[in-house]
Amino acid sequence: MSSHREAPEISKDPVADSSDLYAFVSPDKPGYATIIANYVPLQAPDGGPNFFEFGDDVLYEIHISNRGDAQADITYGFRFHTVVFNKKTFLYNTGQITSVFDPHFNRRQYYSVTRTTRGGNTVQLGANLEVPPCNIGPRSTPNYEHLAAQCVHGIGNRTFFAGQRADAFHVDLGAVFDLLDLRPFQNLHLIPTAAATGVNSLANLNVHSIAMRVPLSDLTVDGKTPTDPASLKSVVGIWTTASRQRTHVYEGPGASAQNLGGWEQVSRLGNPLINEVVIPMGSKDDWNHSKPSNDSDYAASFLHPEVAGLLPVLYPGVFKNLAAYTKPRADLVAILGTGIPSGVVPGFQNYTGKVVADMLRLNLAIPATPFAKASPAGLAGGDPAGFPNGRRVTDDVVTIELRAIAGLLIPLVDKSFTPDAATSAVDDGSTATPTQQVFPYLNTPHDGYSAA
Amino acid sequence: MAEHTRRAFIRGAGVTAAAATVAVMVPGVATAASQSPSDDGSPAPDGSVVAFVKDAKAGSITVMRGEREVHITDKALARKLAKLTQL
Repeated sequence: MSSHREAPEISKDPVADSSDLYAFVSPDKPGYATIIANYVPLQAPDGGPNFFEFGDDVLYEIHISNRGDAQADITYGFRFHTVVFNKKTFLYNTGQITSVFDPHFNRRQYYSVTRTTRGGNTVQLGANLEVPPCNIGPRSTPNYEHLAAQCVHGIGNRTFFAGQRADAFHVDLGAVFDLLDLRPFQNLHLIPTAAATGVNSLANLNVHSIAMRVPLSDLTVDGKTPTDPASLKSVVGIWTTASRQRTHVYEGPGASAQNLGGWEQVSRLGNPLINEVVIPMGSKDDWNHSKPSNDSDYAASFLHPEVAGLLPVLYPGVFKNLAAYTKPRADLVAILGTGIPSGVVPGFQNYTGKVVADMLRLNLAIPATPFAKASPAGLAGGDPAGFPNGRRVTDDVVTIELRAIAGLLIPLVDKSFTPDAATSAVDDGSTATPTQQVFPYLNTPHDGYSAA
Repeated sequence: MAEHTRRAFIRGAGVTAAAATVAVMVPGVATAASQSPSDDGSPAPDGSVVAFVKDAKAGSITVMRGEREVHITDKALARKLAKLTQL
């Protein structure tokens, strides 16, 4: 998955698990960018009575680098707290929740948001902002869209939302992790079965999202709205993290557990699927604790990705050219590690400098593509407003990265290579989850009753 | 036991009284069983403190309180703390 349960340590701590990051120039609000950070992945909608929520003991952050050194220049921080109004019931809601202020909404979360600039100047942008309940079912949350809308908080020229949404990431998990099976092509697999239609394993699952829409000038190094796509000042690198305090002390009955110490990063995410399938098992936990600016430590995993070696073995005879290509993968380093410099793709760049770092890079001066014309293939589909120029909720990142790893984009940096014929058709066959065309763009979460 | 009424479960029901109880974490209070000769007797700060002796031989100690951390090297203190848990 993009980054759902992608490392041994964080797979046991879903509340702090960064699962997807989206960043794009807002198609419906020119001059603004939207960033969505997802956590708490793989939520079964009927997972009560203790429905999913953010961690009160987790520091959630969205980092922006705009000086080309992969250091955080701007960090938006989010802290949650939970209030239980009636502790003498087991019920999440003691009746219908018709408003986020409804007294039947028994277990509520609120959050604060801060903006910290490089050097440590922190400003609190908002506090006690309401989080909607989980989507329980038609008796408990009969008008969920209204509840979610109440939690779209406009603060000055910024907009925030935090709460449950439908997970838009799509992938055929059951097949992919069964020895890299791709159902539409499994007749060509080393252990073949008849070709079949792909399955979206996340089609009915929810996630918790932190979404914000801010002016483009909120993100740039000079505080101005960028207009020149060729300028390095137009490009920002973005990543999310989750951190926990260093110690957690259980004191037994009658006493709340205590968290003490500084914040230790336990999860991070920039580009999709990096820690998932690029970083090897023995390094995954370290990766989650490390900073993007230190990603040169993992350069070997980008230069010689394991999946590129597996494809020719698991699909005999299909990826002959890829199998014969032994050079370091400069194409993947450019796409995922530094951004694509000018001169590689005509009229396009999202280069953030020579520091190899896993950040989602967004050229803020490239206008958004209208929803109806956006290509799920992103830049590879001729749509420069899509992945790897940021990432929209509709971008098919599994297919894009699968094809890239299979060598589709090697000719951008090495014209001596010809991709295998199958490369441009490689696909896991999963279909996209519907999304919406207004903030926060991810769909209404699946309700628990209907999931049964 | 919670009190539930049919009325409370249907749309448009009247407001159910709900005590607004906010969970409050009460920090533990450390009590000194004896006064060390080096204790200056000044009042201790409120709140719990965790001392993490990573390496007693090297004297490496991290002291944590709230969100703050202080790293010190004190071989005597580290040894004293480590010995407290010696069987």
